[in-house]
Amino acid sequence: MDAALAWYQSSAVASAVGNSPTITAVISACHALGFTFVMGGALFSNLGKLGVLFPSRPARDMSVPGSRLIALGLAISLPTGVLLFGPRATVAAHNTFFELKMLLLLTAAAVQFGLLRRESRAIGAAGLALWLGLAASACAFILLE
Amino acid sequence: MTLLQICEWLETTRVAELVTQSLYGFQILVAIHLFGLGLSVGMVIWFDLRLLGKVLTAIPVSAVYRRLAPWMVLGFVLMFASGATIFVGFATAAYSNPYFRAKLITLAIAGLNAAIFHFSTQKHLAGWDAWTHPPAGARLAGAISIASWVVVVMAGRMMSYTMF
Repeated sequence: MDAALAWYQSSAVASAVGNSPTITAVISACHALGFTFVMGGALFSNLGKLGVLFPSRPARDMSVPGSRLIALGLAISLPTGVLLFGPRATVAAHNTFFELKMLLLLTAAAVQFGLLRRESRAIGAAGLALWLGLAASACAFILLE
Repeated sequence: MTLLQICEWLETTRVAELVTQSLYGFQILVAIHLFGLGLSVGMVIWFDLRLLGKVLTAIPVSAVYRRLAPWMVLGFVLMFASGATIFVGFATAAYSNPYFRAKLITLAIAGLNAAIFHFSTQKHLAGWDAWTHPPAGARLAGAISIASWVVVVMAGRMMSYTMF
């Protein structure tokens, strides 16, 4: 694993990102936009499942478009995240907040997309907690590393 | 007093000292700012998509607004309060930063767009409230709003790499 991380960190792509503050800033801006879409979709979808937003409507009216916005956000934030990870792969991979962020991301995505057809309040509460936890760990990773 | 002098004075205040000197003050404020951003922009985008006729088309526009408004307002209060406090700590650096200026101009466009929608387009809301696809003016307001917030989010992140 460490060898793979070291190879990625020394790759031309990681070097190009790491050596250019402008490229890093642009990729990070796209990453932040993807994060905003993920949070918007997660809040809408899971508050809908909890019956908070539009209680008279079926939860599917919120969870389906909400999950689509999450998918769009992930389609932006995952590749940009991989690019930002490159220049510091060997260090970041062992950062506690980064590991927590990845664990929460995988769990939240599994709950959101694997259990999408179950529109229960419990799934909504779990989804909301996981996505908010992901946001908190992402903030901690950015600010405390 | 010029704007730059006001910025310089802001950086001498106790609030600025708390932002820049305390151990976790800056980090906590940025975390609140990011959370407020996700909540406000993350919710306003759904109202914009309803104006574009893309989601919640079975629900009247006014009902969508009523249900989302408290979340949007909470997000905007958190975002603007934390953003203003962070600004006090780094006012002169922000003043000369092109991305900060772009962010402010785009925020003004988003505000103007919302005002035009509220005072003009929304006047005739009763006539199209339940329409699946709202009229062109409302759809344009939704599109401008989404584009504005995309620029605000990206400019805000660019600031982090060019200010400190």
